[in-house]
Amino acid sequence: MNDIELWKLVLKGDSSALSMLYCRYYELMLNFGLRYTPDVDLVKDCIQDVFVKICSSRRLSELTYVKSYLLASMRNVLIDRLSALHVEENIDDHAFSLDIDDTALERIFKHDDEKLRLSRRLLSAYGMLPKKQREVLYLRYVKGLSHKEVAAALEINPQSSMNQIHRALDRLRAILGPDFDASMALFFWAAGTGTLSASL
Amino acid sequence: MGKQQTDIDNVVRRLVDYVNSNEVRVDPDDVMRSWFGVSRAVRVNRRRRVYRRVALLLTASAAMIVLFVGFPFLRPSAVDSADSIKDYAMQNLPMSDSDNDNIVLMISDNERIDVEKEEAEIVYTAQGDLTVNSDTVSAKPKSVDAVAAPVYSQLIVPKGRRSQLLLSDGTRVWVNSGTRVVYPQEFATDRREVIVEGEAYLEVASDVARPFTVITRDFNVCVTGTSFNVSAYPMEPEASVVLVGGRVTVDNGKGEHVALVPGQYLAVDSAGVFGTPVDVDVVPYVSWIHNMLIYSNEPLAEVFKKLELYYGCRFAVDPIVSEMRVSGKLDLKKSLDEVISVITYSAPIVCAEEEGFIYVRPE
Repeated sequence: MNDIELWKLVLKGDSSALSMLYCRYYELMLNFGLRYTPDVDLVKDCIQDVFVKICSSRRLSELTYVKSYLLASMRNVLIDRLSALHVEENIDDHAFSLDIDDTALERIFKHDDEKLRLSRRLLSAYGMLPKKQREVLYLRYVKGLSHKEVAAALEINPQSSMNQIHRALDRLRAILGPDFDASMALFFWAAGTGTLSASL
Repeated sequence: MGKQQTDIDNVVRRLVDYVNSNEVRVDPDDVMRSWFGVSRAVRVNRRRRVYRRVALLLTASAAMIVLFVGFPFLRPSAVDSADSIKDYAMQNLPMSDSDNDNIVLMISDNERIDVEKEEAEIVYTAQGDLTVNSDTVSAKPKSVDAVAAPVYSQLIVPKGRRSQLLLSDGTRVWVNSGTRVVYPQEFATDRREVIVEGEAYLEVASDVARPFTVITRDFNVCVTGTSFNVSAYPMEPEASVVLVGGRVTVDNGKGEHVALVPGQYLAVDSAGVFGTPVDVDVVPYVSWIHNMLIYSNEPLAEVFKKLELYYGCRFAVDPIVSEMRVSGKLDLKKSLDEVISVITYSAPIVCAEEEGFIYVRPE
């Protein structure tokens, strides 16, 4: 059964339909939450919170993007909890930082120094992007969500989501220098129109 | 161009694969089991909603009774005052106000002063009168009520600003950019406590009867009268104390403490673990109070980080540039452009502003 059908059942009060959605998206929500904080217990708590709130809510409505709704709810609950815990609410710097350590990189690009160097620069450029852009890039290119799904998950409009990606690519281009100019843009444009995401 | 394109294609694909394969996996059985936690919580919530309405009625009336009967017998709080200043600091976080770059002094919960200048000088006289940049703000009435709860003030200094605070006991505090200081309007009779979140340099007025404690998130610094620098930015992995004169004891709330002598630097990590005290030249650590940045063989990334805080701007530093080491002195009373030209003169780099960021690349 697809998400939309399951959700229609949830609206009628079917809790086993909700439990199917729970099982289906638990892992995705967990990994998404872990991008904001390393605290596994907190993230798991927040996932439960989201579903408890859905059960107790009197104001549920039909949804087109159930996966995004769950991610958005997760994000809201998590950010609330984090700002209550942290004295400083600026978690921006470490969120979505994609920490891949150098030994892993060396293993991945074992016999290719050029690719290794390229990957290092790519990662450090990515690390310099603002949080909003990293969020969008992660959901779009690592998780393969469509523009509309990304927008619904981050609670922005789809045009804004595309703008963020373009801005991110501009910034990456600026940081990595003119050598990667045309080729990078082409790559991501191709990916954006679907030829890469199909393989993700 | 073709080879580069496939190269990047390949690199990104492999990085994405790696990220995905490195994500957390959960056992479907475990997930199903945890679902029961959800249904349990839902049932508990439903029950609680009924009880809560009843409990609310009860406690409301109980509180009123206590107030009338108990009030004349209230004594000064037996609660450790360190907890009450910490509670206040936790409950009164400044609202994230991205339009407001001003220095803000919250005198109390409902009195607030915004200072638009880049630097603010806040002075409390011994009588408790307050002036901000030489304008008298309030003359404090003599407190008649000896059992009043302590009133706390907060000084919020955003990035790009600095402040000086002269407290009623004569202690002088230089407050650096991106820092919040919480202090009681009147110190207690047996102790003086302030909270610093960020960086401050303190010259504590000597008062043996009232030891002075600086409270940060992971450690406290206790002194009777001395000069020292505390750097404890909540988002930085490492905090530090540098002692200029006198004696301090730093304690991490876990039963461990370190005593410092002048000229020593102590690092404290975010778990409250102490490093070993190191002898240093204190000048680079406190030069900021004179609006100077002095650095000795420091990676450029660190220098730009400090400039970001000081000027409230954002740098995007190329990884090659980050590793370059430099020594020198910057006069921060100068404009950002002048400071940048000093750096570009001494290091092989080039700076360009794009969309709100200043990009720093090798020449």
